[in-house]
Amino acid sequence: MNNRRTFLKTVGATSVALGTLPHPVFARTAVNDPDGRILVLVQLAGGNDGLNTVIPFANDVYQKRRPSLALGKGATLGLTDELALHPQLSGLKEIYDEGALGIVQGVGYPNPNRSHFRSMDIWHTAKPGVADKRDGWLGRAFDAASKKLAGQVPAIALGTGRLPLGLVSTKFTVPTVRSLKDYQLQLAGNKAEQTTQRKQMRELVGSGTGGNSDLDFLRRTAATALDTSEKIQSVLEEYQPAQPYPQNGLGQRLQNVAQLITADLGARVYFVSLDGFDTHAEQAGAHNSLMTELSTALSAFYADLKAHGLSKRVTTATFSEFGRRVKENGSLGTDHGAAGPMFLMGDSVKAGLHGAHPSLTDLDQGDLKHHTDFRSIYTALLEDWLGWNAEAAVGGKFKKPRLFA
Amino acid sequence: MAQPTGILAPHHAAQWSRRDATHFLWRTQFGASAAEITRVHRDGIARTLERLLTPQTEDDEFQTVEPILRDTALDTGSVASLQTWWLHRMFYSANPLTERMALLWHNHFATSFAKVRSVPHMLAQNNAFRTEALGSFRRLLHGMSKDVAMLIWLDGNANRKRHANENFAREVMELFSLGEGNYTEDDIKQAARSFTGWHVRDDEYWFNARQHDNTDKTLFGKTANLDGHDVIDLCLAHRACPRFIALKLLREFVLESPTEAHLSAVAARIREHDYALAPVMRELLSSKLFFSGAARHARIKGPVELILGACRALSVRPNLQAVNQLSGQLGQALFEPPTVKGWEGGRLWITSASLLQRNNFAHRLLQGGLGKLPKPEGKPEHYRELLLAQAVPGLDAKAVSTRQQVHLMMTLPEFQLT
Amino acid sequence: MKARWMIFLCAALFTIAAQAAKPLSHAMPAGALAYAEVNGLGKRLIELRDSDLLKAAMVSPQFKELQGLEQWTQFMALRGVIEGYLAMDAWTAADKLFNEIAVGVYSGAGGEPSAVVMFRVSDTVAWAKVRKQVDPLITLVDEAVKREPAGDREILNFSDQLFVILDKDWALLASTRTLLAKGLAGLQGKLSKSMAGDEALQQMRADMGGDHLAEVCLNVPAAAKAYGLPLELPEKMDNAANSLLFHGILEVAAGSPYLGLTLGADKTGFKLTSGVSGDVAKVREKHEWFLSDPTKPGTRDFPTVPGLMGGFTMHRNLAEWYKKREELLTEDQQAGFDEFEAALGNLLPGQNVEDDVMPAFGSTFTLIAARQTFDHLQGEPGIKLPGFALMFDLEKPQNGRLFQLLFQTIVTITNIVGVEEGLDRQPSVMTAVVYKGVPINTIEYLKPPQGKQLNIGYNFVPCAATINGRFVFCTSLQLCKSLVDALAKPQDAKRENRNLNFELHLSELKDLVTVNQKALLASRIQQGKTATGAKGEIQLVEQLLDFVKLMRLSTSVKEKGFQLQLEGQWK
Repeated sequence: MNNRRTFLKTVGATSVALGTLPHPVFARTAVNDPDGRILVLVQLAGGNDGLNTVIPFANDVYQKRRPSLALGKGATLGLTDELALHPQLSGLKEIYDEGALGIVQGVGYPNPNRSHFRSMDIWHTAKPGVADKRDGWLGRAFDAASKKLAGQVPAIALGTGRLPLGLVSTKFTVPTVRSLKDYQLQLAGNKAEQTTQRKQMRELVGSGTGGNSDLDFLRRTAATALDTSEKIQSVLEEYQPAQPYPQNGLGQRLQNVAQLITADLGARVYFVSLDGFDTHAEQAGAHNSLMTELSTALSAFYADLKAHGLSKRVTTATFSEFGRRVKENGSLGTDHGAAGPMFLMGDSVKAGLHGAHPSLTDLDQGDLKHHTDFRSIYTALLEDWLGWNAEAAVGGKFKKPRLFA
Repeated sequence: MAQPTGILAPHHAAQWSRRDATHFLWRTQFGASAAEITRVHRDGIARTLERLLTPQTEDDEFQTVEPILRDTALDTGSVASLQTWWLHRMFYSANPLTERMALLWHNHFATSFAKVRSVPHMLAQNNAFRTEALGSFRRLLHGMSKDVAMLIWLDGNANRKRHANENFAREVMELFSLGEGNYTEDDIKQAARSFTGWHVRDDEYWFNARQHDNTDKTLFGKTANLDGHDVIDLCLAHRACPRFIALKLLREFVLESPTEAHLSAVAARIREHDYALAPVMRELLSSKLFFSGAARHARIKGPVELILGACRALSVRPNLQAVNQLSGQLGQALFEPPTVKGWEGGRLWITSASLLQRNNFAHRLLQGGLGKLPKPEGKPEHYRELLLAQAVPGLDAKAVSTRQQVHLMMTLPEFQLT
Repeated sequence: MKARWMIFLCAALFTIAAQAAKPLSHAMPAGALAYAEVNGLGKRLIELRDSDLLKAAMVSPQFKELQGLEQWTQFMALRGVIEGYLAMDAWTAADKLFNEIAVGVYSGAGGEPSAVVMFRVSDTVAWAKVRKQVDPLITLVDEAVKREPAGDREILNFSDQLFVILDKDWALLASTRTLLAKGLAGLQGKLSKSMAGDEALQQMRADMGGDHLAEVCLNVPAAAKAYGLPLELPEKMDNAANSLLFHGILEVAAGSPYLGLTLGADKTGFKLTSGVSGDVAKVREKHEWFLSDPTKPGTRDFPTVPGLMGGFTMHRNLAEWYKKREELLTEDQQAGFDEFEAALGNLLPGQNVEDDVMPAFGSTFTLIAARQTFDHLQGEPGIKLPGFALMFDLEKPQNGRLFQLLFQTIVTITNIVGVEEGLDRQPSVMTAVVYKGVPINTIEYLKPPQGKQLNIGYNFVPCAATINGRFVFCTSLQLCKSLVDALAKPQDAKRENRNLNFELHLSELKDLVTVNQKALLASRIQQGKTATGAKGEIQLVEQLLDFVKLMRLSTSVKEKGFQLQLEGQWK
């Protein structure tokens, strides 16, 4: 322990001397430090039916246009006299009541594209109208902040095979993690032998001379890597979730995110996805289970972060490529639409409703019109939360709403 | 023709050591076995260079296997099969420098299967890299402007007379020949017009005359009814071009951060040889600079280089599917560069996560997880030559068994360098 | 007087003869939790030794690799020592000494299992020689072995852990003295209660037949009592596929007095059968969907199309299973159904899965694979897959239209996704052909694809047709036409009552290996093999496929139980 402390001091001092960021492993202390803040993105793939998520139950048009899918006042979780949450979102409703959930309404972009592929690309590249899939909005944000982030893992995607386009960067290799084993140092032999090996490796890696050669850089990164793996090892052995996560895909992925955050891995962005929102037919049952999965997983995640003292440092945001058409179709489902709501969760979030519910009568080809450009939300997340410049990431200046308290 | 002088003057063969041979091999192929080091040390640099730069006949096994793997990639249409086909070439070909150059050009003209979605097109492009690997960059650049995979990748069919698409024209200048800062936005517009009508039809290049802009364009001071080939020739004649190529060659073969002196010396030789690559490589790989202290352990290994290199050093016949998966996890999926800029390489290969994965690869390799591992024999110095090619203070005192020594070597920061 | 003597003599002779022929179960003490018996093993082993199969395996590269291992060398040295002592090779030893073997496992004191093993030898002369050879060995290790006289025999006591008697035509091994005594009595024909009278074993033999190369019988209630095995089945399963495949079997097995396993083998093939007993009529209503009526044929036989490679068919009432999904499957499985309904709903707008779609399926469905040619292409795919067909009985003929709609939607989506994803695939148009009066819906490529190494996707030409009351989805027009021919013939003439049937026709499979040899070679080379090594492996696979004509895994419902059978037919 003593050695470790001495080592940390040394590296800390040299890093400061070099004007670079200190080691990610021990950098985070103050909540106010924007460099310690974390964004967790939850993608709802397939086009979530926003109208049946944040529900204008009191609106006649809603009830008329959705004769079989509309949910009435009694069946929903009321937010205001006119709006309510889907009945399965009880976990999120509690967080809303606690003042840690923001709901941004009517998010979208001009000339909405109704193809899944295209629209998802637009959300990931933040470039509507341009077929350029070189990099993603977060990837460009990492590139812009590359000096600060040098040698770090800026983001981690969990549970996906391929790196989501939004995280593709020209300056960073963002890892996709299928299991936490990827972050464990694998060693031969029994526990005692492994401890010796770790110790030897750590000694041989040294601490870098503080110089700027490739070897110094490698030594510093290797030291971080070994320390991180040790931390993850102990997190895996000791970590206890504050409450059990639900046995569903999103729950398990978010539990892994919580484990990595607890281990103080230094990543600033985590990305997870929940699929299956393309509910053209027989929507009620499928949407019910998706809402359950979303709500139970997010509320377990929030409780867990809170118990670990991290709920102020972590903001979770959901998004989907589009909402769905106002009028239900003939198969008890809904077709591809446009604007939809986003959830923001965390103790630093400005809770409550942001913006009005989009009009159900003033429509664009039968779809809700957006009043908040998704790039303005991105701008707020990047600048007001992560503390990075957003201009290159979202391709311009966007007026940002106040999303954080 | 003038001979190179100064930093590019020939390294004196009298000083030729085993360590020089190891250095040379790690840069010109994917790792080196003890036998190969011995051979190169015995043959000397002149003979070795001659062998590397003259096409060698592949052995029978290679001639049997290569078409099987290639056909299977075409048959299955799967990028994984195509990737293993190339990995096989890199590991087993008698012309390893050709494969390394092909990898350099793949990264230079970074085209991804993710958009092209066709094994035959990606394969054809790859073979073009191979044909000109040690041939002519001039021919290669001209060839790429009509390459089907490239035209799909950079939206060639969208480049029309009335709506010029600048995608390809921009990359020709920014990424393929000049580098940023050596052209204006107007240059790109003029160049894009010159490439209008260079389309793909029925899986082949097709000059769509009706979509070609036949009016005058002005590029780098020259005004005429330019077409794409004229643009490429103007780029090749531009003073920035040889420097840009020199940077690529130096970073791939000599050192991560070349100085101004390095750049201008190599650029001069490229101009001297009019983009012929074999003579430039012959001079570069036998130069004082190449064998200088500044060039030793001066590059961070890329994933493919790291994995195949370690397998070769330890005489493991690797499971190429596993190698392929690993190199993808470490950030280098062949035929799938992340962006049009290719893999930036260098320090960007390294994060705490990727270093852990690199360490875990070493563990797996030594557990026999990538292929049967010959019993460790010989002293630790033997492995130090193979894996590190340098002395590391403090290493000898550690670990009792040779196996543990080898494992420690492979987890050293020094192991990431070549 | 003389007559009485004669009668006595005859009776004695008869008793001796009967005694000799009596299977070992009459000698094995009653009350075993598990009992196994082998009869005639040696002959089968000798047949194996002389077979081409073994010869082919012995020259295979895998065998050579095995021979290179240290363990193999050690094993062969040990075998050499043993063969030296026995003065005969291992095959002969098996034939002469181990033709009849029986093993009984009992629940002993303190929960430790105890066991009895018996051999009856067929060649007493060879056996006498062996005993003579072994005797000095026993003397050699006399610290560990005590010789105890027992009448005119001798008990070898291995540290009170194992007791052995070697008699002139049998050997007896037991882990306790009590069992040794009972076993000895059994072999002398003096045992009052033997396994031959065991209820579970008797019932198993009644259900599964008594004449096998080997049989194993587990007394389920006794074993459960002795070891507290978890025979309580969970009410709900956590895997939908397992539920569909096994739920009913487990329901029957849980109440069975035995779990039986028999192996039969002869020159034509082998048959491995596992059986449980139970009154099928009394299976709970919850599981009725699983079982076919034991008095009626269950699954259909596979249609005899040319080049049939294999097939899978099940008798299940899918609609009932689907209705009872909440009773049968755990909560976490239910979300999957919601997603399935939404997905299927997207393909069949306006249809309710539970009420409209599932009941349209009859109670059997069948998937087959058969050789196909590629005359419809101007070339052929590089990797040649068989044609597949999925068939099910239409509950009502008009339901065919529903599946027709599904077919059309899928074809359309394939076209759209092909374009959006930039897949290397020609767009197609829907068309119909009439073959022998049956309209077949299928597709035609806009431009017939050309070349010798076409994309793997060109193995699939979607077709759909209603043939003789059965709906057929198929991936080859040629196979679809063969099905029109095959399904026109009467199907149910003499089919066996099977609940599930999975068949592989290995000679056709071998052809598949042969035409796709390059891809298989490539896959092994990619995994690190040399060209020669990979070729050797594939040759071995081809040779092995050459020995077997048919492999079948099937389950059948009997009035008194349920059996699972694995069969192989040699060529």
